[in-house]
Amino acid sequence: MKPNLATPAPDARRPVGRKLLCDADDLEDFATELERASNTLPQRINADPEKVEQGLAKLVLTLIELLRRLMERQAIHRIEAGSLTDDEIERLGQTFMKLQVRMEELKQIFELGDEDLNLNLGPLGDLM
Amino acid sequence: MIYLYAITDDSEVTTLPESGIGGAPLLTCAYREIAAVTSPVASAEIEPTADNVWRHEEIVEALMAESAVLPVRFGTVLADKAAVQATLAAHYSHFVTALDRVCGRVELGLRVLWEEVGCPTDKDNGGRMADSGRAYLMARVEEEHQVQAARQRGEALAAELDGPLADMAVESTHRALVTPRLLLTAAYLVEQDQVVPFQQRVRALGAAYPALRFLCTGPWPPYSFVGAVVSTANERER
Amino acid sequence: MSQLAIREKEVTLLDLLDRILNKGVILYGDVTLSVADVDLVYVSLKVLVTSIETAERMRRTAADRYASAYAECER
Repeated sequence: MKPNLATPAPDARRPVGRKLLCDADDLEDFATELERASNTLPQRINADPEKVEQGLAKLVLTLIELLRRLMERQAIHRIEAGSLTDDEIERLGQTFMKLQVRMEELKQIFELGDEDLNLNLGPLGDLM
Repeated sequence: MIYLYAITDDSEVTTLPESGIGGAPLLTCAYREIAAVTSPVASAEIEPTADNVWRHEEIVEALMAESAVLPVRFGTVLADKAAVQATLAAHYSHFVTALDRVCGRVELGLRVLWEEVGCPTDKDNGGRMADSGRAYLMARVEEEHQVQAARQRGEALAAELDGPLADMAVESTHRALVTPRLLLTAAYLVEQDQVVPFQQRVRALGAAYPALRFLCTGPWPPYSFVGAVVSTANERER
Repeated sequence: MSQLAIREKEVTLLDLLDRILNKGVILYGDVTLSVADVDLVYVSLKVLVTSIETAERMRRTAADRYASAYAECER
């Protein structure tokens, strides 16, 4: 259930005055980070025909981006372990660069930014 | 169908707020000395609009002024009154223990932002274009080292901040780096009379760490401290 | 409403949402299949908890219907 955050009409009864302590200038940043953190809330599959395509693109590109990062991590580990030849390093590097260029193109075609792909390796980051 | 707002230790709740979601009347459903506060709804899908969410919250807070309360997650709908009774009966001892644990206590939330050179950012995933494949990967190796180091620094710093605050709380939870800039996300269960001292300690931390930014919110009903009732499959660890 | 007040409302609401949607007493599980926080499939296990009697009644009714349906087929 993706929450609808449209601001309701002001209501004096609402317990809005909850800030015990904060820097007034920072609310913008806190709002951004809170939204980012909440992006992991389950989302209803958008059945609006115009949005379906973009929704699917988002899912596919997120997976591709995930795979790309995982593979890059693997390569990095193997470089650190010294188990790749210079030739392999060069070829892998070239491939990853090309992949990144292609991802950027795809993101532009579907008008998706980094924040849409919501990629935070989280626990996998540690496992890798 | 029956919408649930909270479980309370007062089976004879006398002061109920006017109405619940959709303007429906609020009803208590008692089982022994505990009760569920509910209202009838037509559908099992209750949309989390700001209005509905605030209404739910207002009701929980009104109850909290009079008795110990276990807030129920938004959107919880059961089939009928019998189902509510069955739930109270099935988890009776758990609810009693949890109500006792939160009685007279409130939840305070804390979030801390940091902005550090070398702190993990979203841009760390893809390197910069380089002259050769090797140069690209080598730059990525270096970047990963920095990211790992920053993550460790972040976790240590988060623990440093959490320590003195957890000391003032009956119970607490904390997580570091939910997002790259959100250094610490924490919740603290504190006695009512500890709210102001807690606030002062957060201010003191703010002064001691001028590069960090603190957001302390509350008092909230004890959402984070009700304990597990039904084991869910949704255990996504971070 | 001033810009600051709007921000305060927004942050308060976001903070509340994190609690009210994810925490509190959870009576049924929602499963989100995800890899590294990438939500792939969301399944709501929102089974309306019915009372034992209702469930028994439903089961018996269904059994009766099956029984008579089989009986019809046998003929």
